[in-house]
Amino acid sequence: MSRRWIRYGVVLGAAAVVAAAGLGVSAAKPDERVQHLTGAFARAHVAKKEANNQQFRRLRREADARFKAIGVEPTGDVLVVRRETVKKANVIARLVGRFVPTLMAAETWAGGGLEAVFVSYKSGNKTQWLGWTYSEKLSNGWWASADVRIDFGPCLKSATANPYVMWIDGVETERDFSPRERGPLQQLGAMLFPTLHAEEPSCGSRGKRIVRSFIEAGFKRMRADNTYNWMASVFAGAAGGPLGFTISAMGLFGASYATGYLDALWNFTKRCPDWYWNQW
Amino acid sequence: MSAGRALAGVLVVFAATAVLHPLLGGSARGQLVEVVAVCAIAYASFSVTFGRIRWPFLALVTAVFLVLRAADLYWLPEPLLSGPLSWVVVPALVAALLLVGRRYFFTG
Repeated sequence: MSRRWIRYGVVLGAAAVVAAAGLGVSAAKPDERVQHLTGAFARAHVAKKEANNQQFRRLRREADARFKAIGVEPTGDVLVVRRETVKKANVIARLVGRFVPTLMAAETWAGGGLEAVFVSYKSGNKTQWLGWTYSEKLSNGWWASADVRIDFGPCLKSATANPYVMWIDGVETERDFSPRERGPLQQLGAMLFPTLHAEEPSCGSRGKRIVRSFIEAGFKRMRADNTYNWMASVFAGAAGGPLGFTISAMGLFGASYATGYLDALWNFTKRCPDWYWNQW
Repeated sequence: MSAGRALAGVLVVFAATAVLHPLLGGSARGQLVEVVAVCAIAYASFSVTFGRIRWPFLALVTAVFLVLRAADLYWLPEPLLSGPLSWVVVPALVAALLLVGRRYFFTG
């Protein structure tokens, strides 16, 4: 074996070791995030969600009605608590999900997610918060389409703590909010019939907006790959000169475009199953 | 350099870097590891399919992109490598690296 091949082998081996170390670190614990948005960020987030969806505006009106019913005025402060848990241990499923995004649905839902919006109001001398979710699926498998009361005290003490869901539609919930996984049959069902298990369609009206979101998703994916395409092309330029650089750049960027749009197409069909199937 | 070899090299790089992303996840540490791995994969693949690349050039490119990615993740308010500015910053950086490489590193 020539020294050249030994050198390439050493470099690739080192890369594999580095990647394996990173993989070990990321797989060791579930990827659980609690994100808090406050102030202008939170208001912008809520405004954006409401601008794009009729149902979200309805939920906002319901919340306003609740404020009115209990006789208080909102202060205008908004707090958004987002919690996502993604099971990361199953490397094969994550890898397959990259290429077959419908499988990703089962993987993502295994952890579930929660986004709750809180609006503050004054009650006497105390500031209270009323929260509701934007009809997202809770990690214990419940749908919450109306108001949710959450004790977010733990989150304010520690950025990684989980909020407690106290009440959903007037029903007290379990304090333990740890994610419950789907059983094997449910997972199989989600894989075989993704449209039955897909989340509620949130595309809103048909037409330009859907097409625009489809294109934006493709561009978003493409831009994420861009830096790596450029980085790789530097080496092609170093080894193959201008011709090598051109071949590499055209190939890598072309492939990124293609997979970006395929990705967007899959996500589109997954997120809007009713709209999609009604067209054909 | 035949067209077949060149395309095979590009395909290997694209497939390998596409696999890396879901494996490493989107964490800050994962992104830094990804930069190193992408550079190593491109170096190895294009060295075989296109021609020899000196290893100091690998070190230079990796270090530059690693520092910039770390700056994006930890220090800069606006990301240079993945934000809107990337459309200008990254091609300029690539051109600069190729010029420096031609002056000091390339053999051919």
